[in-house]
Amino acid sequence: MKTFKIIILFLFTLFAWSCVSLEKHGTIHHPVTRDGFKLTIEHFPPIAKIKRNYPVIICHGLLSNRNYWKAKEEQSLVSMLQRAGYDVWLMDLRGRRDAGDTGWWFGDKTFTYNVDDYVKDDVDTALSFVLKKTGAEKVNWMGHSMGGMVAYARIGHYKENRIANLVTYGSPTVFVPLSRVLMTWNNAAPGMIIIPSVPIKMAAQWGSLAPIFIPSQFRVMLYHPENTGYQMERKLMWFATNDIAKPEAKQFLYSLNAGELVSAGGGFSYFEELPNIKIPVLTIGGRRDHLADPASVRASWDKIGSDDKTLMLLERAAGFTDDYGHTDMVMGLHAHKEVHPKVIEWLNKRDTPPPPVEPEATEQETTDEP
Amino acid sequence: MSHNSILKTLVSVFAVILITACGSVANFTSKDTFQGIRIGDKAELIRFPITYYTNDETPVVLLTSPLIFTDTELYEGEHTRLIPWLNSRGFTVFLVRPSKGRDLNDLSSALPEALKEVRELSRGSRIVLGGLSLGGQAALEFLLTESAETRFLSRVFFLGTGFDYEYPGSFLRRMTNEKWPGSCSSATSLCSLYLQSKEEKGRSLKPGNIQNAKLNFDSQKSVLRRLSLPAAFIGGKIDSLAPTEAWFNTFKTYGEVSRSTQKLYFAAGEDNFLSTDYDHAMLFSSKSAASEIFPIVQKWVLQTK
Repeated sequence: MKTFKIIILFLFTLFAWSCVSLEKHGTIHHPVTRDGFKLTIEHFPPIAKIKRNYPVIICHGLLSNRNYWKAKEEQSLVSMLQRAGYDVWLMDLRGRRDAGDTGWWFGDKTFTYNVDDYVKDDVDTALSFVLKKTGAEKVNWMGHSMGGMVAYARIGHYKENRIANLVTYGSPTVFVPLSRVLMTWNNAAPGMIIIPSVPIKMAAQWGSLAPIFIPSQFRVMLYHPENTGYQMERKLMWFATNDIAKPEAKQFLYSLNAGELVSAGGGFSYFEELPNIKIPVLTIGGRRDHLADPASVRASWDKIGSDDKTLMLLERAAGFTDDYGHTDMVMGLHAHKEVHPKVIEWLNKRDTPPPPVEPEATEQETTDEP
Repeated sequence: MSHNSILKTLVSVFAVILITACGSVANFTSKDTFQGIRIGDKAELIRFPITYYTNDETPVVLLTSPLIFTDTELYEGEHTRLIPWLNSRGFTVFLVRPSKGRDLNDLSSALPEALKEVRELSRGSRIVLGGLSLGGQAALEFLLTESAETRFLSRVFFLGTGFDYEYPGSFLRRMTNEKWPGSCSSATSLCSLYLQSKEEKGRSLKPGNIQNAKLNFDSQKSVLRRLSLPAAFIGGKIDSLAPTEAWFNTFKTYGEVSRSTQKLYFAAGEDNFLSTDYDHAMLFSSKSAASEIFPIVQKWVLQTK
């Protein structure tokens, strides 16, 4: 009995200690895509008197949802953009829990979608919704990891013209040869035959109780622990993870092995269409990013057709506090001091519509005066 | 004394000698073993003979000087360095370095003659060319000449070599903007930034001298695509001096024409189940390099297919 009580007390302490909270909330909307999937878009209006021209849509990456963008609360990019005068729309792609749980085999919506669906439908729906709500002509798009890749794909393949400026954090379209950790995932892929999704959320939430017990080779794939902090690790795992749909995972694995981002089944390459991107682009890479290797980020930057493209590598040699990993470039210990201010500065310079085209001067006709 | 106690004493003394000897073999760097051969007036070839005999047919390794840091980092120091590590595993190592005042171009143009000397001295052994740090550019430059001498190489590896620095904020672009002093040994703060390890505090490579490092090899792309010599590209995951974005494209393009060209891409980091992410200094002079990096080089060098 005494042992039982000690165990219960230990588990309660562990649970209480590991509880994390997310305080920042905006107004929730649920636009619906053409094929009937609900998205979630959370609105954060500007809180500065400065008037900006274009609203900002922020999109998350693979195996996650929108929450890690606001996990740093008042130090998050969301808050910093609001204070800089931007109208922020933080989105979830389909299949995320706030828009209704997606079923494995039963229910209205199941895990049957892939990256092509994000590009074709979700991005389109988000753009249409935000432009209708704000009355703006275009948006600024910021995406982390897959959230940037879908924008590359949308603009490159569908010639999307409603995005004025693009910022991508750790978004590859080319992939370096698989590391041993990724090879482990690749080799486990046949196991997906029995399940319709990769159950990341449950595993991550259990892991959030004590991230330190997760093998470091797997943690470092997502973030650089020393640059993230323990509390933020747990927030990331508890609030910001999502299951990966099987078709989505298959498309990614196919692309990883092909060496570049391709459509499902390999019909065409989104990477090869990057020269179609002519708008201003800021590509950000982390020196210690094990998912989006800087070589991949640079390759995307090289291929983009824009005349106004900036490559920013977050590394100590460039004066940053640390070599940034995949997610700490968004929510790391120093991101609010070092990374986001530079992003906002870049955006401020470009968040202006082109000057109006002046009508050509014509000769005045002479008239007979009475 | 009984026979047993004499035997035990002898065995103990022998064990002590063996353990001490093994320790000294791994760090054997006596200057007396250096045999320098002049290669014209451009370069010098130095021979480091094996310190451990093996029956295996181990190839001979011809290394280029790293240039950006001093050669001594390859064979002197408080723990095992690359050359003595290879020597203690049965590899004879040759190091080619430019003469004083000479540059990367001189190093690459001296390689054919250096290789000829190595062939004469090693009599039929397989020869593997190793490009180290920015000195590896000379090795690639040599392969791109497609000269007759290159056919005597059995394979090549590049350790911490960058080939393509044409992007904003790259190491060579920054050095050029700083009006490249021609010598990292003038110890500019910028050089120190790249040669110091951030992972292992206190670990730093002694700055060397390099001029005319290439920003890229784009003009020789068609030749690069044709090369068929098995090649390994090994670098540090958090190496800022030779980052992955400075050699991935070259790796991709190398031998592209033939799908059967044998290539290895290895970024040394935790995602490859190593103990840490490696920077430039750690690739050559850390405690863990001897157990994690050098065996990768050895495995590549020993491969015959």
